[in-house]
Amino acid sequence: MNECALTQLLVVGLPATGKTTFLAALWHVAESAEIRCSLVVSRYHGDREYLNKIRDEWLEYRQLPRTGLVDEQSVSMRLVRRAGGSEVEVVFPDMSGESFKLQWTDRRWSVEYSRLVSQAAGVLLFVHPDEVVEPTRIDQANRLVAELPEVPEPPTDAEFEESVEWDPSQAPTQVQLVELLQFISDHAAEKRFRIGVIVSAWDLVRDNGVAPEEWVGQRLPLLSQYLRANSDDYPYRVFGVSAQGGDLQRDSARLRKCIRPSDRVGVTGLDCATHDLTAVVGWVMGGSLAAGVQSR
Amino acid sequence: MADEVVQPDTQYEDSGLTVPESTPAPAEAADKEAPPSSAWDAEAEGFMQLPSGGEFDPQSACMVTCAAPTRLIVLAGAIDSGKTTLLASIYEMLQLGPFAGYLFAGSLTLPALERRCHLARIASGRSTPDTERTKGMEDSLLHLRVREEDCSRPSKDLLFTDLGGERFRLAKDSSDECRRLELLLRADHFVLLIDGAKLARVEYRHEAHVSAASLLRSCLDADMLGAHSYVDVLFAKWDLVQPVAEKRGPKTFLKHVRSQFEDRFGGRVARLRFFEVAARPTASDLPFGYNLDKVVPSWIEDAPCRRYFKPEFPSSFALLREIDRFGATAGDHE
Repeated sequence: MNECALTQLLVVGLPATGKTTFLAALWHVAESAEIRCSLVVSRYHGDREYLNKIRDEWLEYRQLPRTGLVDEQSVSMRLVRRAGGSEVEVVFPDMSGESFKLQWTDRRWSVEYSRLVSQAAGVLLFVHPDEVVEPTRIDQANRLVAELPEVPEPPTDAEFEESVEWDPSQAPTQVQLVELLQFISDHAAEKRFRIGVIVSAWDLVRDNGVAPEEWVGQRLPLLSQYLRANSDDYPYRVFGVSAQGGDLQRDSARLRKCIRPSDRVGVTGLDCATHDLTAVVGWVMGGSLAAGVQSR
Repeated sequence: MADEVVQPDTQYEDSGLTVPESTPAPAEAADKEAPPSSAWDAEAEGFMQLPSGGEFDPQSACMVTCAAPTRLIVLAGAIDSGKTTLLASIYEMLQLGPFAGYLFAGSLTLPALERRCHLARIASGRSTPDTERTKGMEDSLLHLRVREEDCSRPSKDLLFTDLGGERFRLAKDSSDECRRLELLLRADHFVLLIDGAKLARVEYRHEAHVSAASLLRSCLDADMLGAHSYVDVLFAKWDLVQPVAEKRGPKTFLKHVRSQFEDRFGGRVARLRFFEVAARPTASDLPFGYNLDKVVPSWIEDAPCRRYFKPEFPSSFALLREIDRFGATAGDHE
């Protein structure tokens, strides 16, 4: 019999935040079991063409193309804890970052996604260090300009100065992410689920010596506060993940030296082994691994 | 406790429970602003509408006030006195991290708050910060949810009014217009801003003082505020006042303003306080949000002690006027 528990995790993030690269690397790490990881693929099932396609690109050190609105699909993996336990089918909808952007700008989501949200048992929220739009105020910028050696031009009369119209797509990243989480919490059937915040391309910021949670507190303070304030209902952890292992051009030589592709992966976070991407998923799933939220 | 509840006070009874003809039916009103509560049901072409995130009106604000104890903070003052800037600055402070010991815990009006911050951000393409003037005669409310930094107690919901200065000019000049500001009946905090730009100039400072005092008196005489009310007078744009505040003339004048307010209104309200604030200083070295951390925590924590009789609801809750529903539900959980 192929019966096993079913768990659905939401993969949420604005465009170019590394969602698909994460799934590609996760599939490889869990399926190949070439490193000692928390979760392994227990058996093949269903259609794996998309997962294998993105894994091949990842293995060939290629930048994975952005998922377009028409390319969205769900992938599933049957996972089991390496230490033993019941098998769980984990479904990850691989959605375009544009879809999430549209939730904020156009205030709508698809009926299909709504169904996924109502069944979700946890959230993987992606942030990319190079894609953070900060809410910079004019007075902050002016203060920096004033420190420049050249004397700035006197400010224009505020009343007659021209302005660009407000465009929601330009809103700060942290505001958009909070809104996406609010949409989910309003709509999810599970009133208590875990949120794994994944700071992708962690290799870009790792050398600064800050922990992933600290980094979110510094760069996305509104999101950080929201997570802390709501952690009774939505426990969270922040992970620094480098699914590619580094910059594909700059670090090419180092990456190609890895005998086991899984060794390229870097994970920083509580209770995570250095290359174990599955530990992130394992934590978000929490109790779901022992008993899935649905059976089929 | 069956008959007596803590709620908007005895004036509530005076506000009546009948439905004015001009009050839109709930469904009609819902269409006007697409309130979040019904938005989940909208389904077309495979998409579902999400909450608009726009400002609430008293009717749509019920989704906040019905769900949890909510503080209503009425920001009052003349045109250009800095009401919206004050609200935007509180939100901007939270963008940077915990503010005055509180964490940002959410907001159901994020786009509306973002819009109000736009002209003070570099994304606007401007070189000098500004705030778009609040126009129109609608009752607009913006929502913030905060929680103490140590998370020792549950989150608290706040609703701030964003009403045009013209509303308050009318309320100052006419008791009938003042009674139209029905949100005042439910206010936990009445925050009266006096424009510092006017206080700093001899030719404008008396008008600024007298207008503010007249507005407060109008609200008290019309029974929209009363002995239960918490009133904070904010000397706004303090960065403009500060350079002259230490000079003898202005200093004496500000003392005079305070003593006049205390003499005239101190005995008519439950609490009267004064603060010097600069929500978005431009003319001095004062920090952004100067002194807001002194005043905002009390808006979150303090609620006037009001006892009044819970009205008997008509058979249909929907038959209540908007303000009645808003007030009737706001404090039931406290």
